[in-house]
Amino acid sequence: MKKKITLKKMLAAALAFGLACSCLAGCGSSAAQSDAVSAGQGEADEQGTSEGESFKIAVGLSDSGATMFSLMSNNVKTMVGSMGGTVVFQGGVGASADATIQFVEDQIAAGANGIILSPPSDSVLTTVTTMCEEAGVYWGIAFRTIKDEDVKALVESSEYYIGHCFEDEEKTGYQVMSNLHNKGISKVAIISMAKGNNTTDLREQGAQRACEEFGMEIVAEARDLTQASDATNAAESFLSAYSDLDAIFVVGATGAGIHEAVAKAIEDAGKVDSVKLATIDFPDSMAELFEKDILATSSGAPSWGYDPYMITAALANTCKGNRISDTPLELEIPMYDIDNAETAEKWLEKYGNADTLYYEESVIKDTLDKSANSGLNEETMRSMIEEFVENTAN
Amino acid sequence: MDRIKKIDFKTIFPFLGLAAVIILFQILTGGKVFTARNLKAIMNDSFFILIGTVAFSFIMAVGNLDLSMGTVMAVSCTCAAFASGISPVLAIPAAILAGLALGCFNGFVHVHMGLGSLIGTMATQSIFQGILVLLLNGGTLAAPVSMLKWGSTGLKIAVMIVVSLIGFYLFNFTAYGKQCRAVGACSEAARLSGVSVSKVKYMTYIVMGGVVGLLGLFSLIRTGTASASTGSSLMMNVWCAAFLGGLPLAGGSACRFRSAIIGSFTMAFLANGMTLMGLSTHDKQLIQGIVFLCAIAISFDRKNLVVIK
Repeated sequence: MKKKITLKKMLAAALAFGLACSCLAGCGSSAAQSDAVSAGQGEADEQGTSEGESFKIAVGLSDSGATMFSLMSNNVKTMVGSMGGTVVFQGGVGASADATIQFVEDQIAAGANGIILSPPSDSVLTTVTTMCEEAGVYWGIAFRTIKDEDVKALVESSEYYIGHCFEDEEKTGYQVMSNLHNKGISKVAIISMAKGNNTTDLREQGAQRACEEFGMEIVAEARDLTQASDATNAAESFLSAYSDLDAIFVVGATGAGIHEAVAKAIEDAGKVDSVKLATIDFPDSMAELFEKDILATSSGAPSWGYDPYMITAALANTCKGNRISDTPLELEIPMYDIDNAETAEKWLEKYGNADTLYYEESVIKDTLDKSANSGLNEETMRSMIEEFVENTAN
Repeated sequence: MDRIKKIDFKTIFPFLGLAAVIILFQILTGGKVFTARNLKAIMNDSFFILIGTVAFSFIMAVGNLDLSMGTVMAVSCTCAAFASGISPVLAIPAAILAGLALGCFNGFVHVHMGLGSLIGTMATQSIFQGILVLLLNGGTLAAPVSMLKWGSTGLKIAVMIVVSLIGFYLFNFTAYGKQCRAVGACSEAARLSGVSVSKVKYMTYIVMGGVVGLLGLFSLIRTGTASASTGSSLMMNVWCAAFLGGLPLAGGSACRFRSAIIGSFTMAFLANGMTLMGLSTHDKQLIQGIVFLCAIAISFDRKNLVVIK
């Protein structure tokens, strides 16, 4: 009897054997890890490190391609590196709940000891908390606050949550509208993220508060724009539909070139004298837009990347076994206004260059690394933030 | 030996692809692929891809495509989130029924309105996206925290196995599976043989809708959130898996159910391996695009150029 063994069958058998071996290897690995845990690491399957060991931090932040992202990533790499760790960045994470969960799951699997993320909504944090607790991975939040009280209580009860670094988004939205009011502007169209986004929801609340206080009006809105061409279309629609429009306020968007696209639409419509642009977070072209008298005001953190920088510093210390605080950190970055070309130029000289370091390596080792500076705590970190803002303003 | 010689590259390509991806990343990551935690991540990666590809293989077998699966998943997820507000258990029928209804609509557009599957589902994708924005009022919807505990690894593995076994049985051992391939090979010949071509095509979209509805439910359990971006990566992942597995664009008798399984695992190992290597999102997109192109170039049946029906 001839055996009809085909190449397909042989390959299938080889693959099945390989996969079966891998599953068994995985089970063995799981048992080995469990043994290690029961030998003295507590109940969780710890991925943290003890002092002196190298550690890995994964930072999941949207990569818009702008200088501010490169500036942030360079600084975070320098800081974590000087503390003896490595860092991995992944863009597009905060854009959706699916991407956020996938990021956390993949990075835990890839052996990250700590995770920094910027969640698109509060509801996703419940799952993140569970995943990080199960894996014994420390994590923190950049840019965002937790609005939902139930979720906040659950997240803050986890020993693996180290805290968040954030800006007062409501106040920023209010401040931008207030600045516009001072320039005689009353009718505003907004470009924002989808409703439910923690950051832009709060900014819009602030903008609405300013409207009620100053008698201003938000006449139109466009949401969830991810490309410059979408912003052009939205701005052109605003300009043609509302002849009495005074300003377009970019409350938030994820794509690159959104501000520039809106500015060009205003220029192309010949309405530079009557319609102004307002932004949050400083675009690369800020000085040029002020020169052209299109940009009326811009508010943002002294440097966009400083927010994830500080919470990552706290996480790096935690990964090294030197937790900053037993309770979750609450680090607020004060916002900073720029409303003229001269200030914009000065700011760009400092932070328009991706190679600028917030702190030199020697300063990082002496101040931000708790193993060298035992006095580092939540209060001293707040003092550092205040000093940084003052230095930027001067 | 004669049998071995007859096997062409297209046939063994999916197997070689999976083996190559596993071996490559096992070497490049220094053996990190086969750890318990990583295998769990791969399982979670492959869950959505495999189940989606199993349902998509029926659509491909009849020679059609579906561009709307991501938005069907998002709408199903949203319906489940609304229903879970009444009772978490209601989320299960809500998601599946929503998926079935939207799948039925896709079938109606293709079969009764006579639109090609590509154009038809492109239009319905836009319609479903509009429905989604209306349902969510431009925002997001959260599921009750109690629902998040449903998503155990054991349940996911069980669902993957059950869906795969049902798909395997339907595809290979029922008249319906054979009719799908017959319609894909030559719909006119199938019609003359007594096959109700319209019914077969209709059913593929209904099955796809129901299965994607189930994925919408699991997405809600996994993330706790329904939003406009839910399911946004599903279509690309499923298409890549289908082509990597060797499912031909033209459909017909060359379609094999194993292609869906092999392709899904290849995609999952590929995505996971790139993450383990610390590649950036842009690098991953670039590699995924190149792999997609290569897979189509190899599996594309150039003898039958009328592939988009």
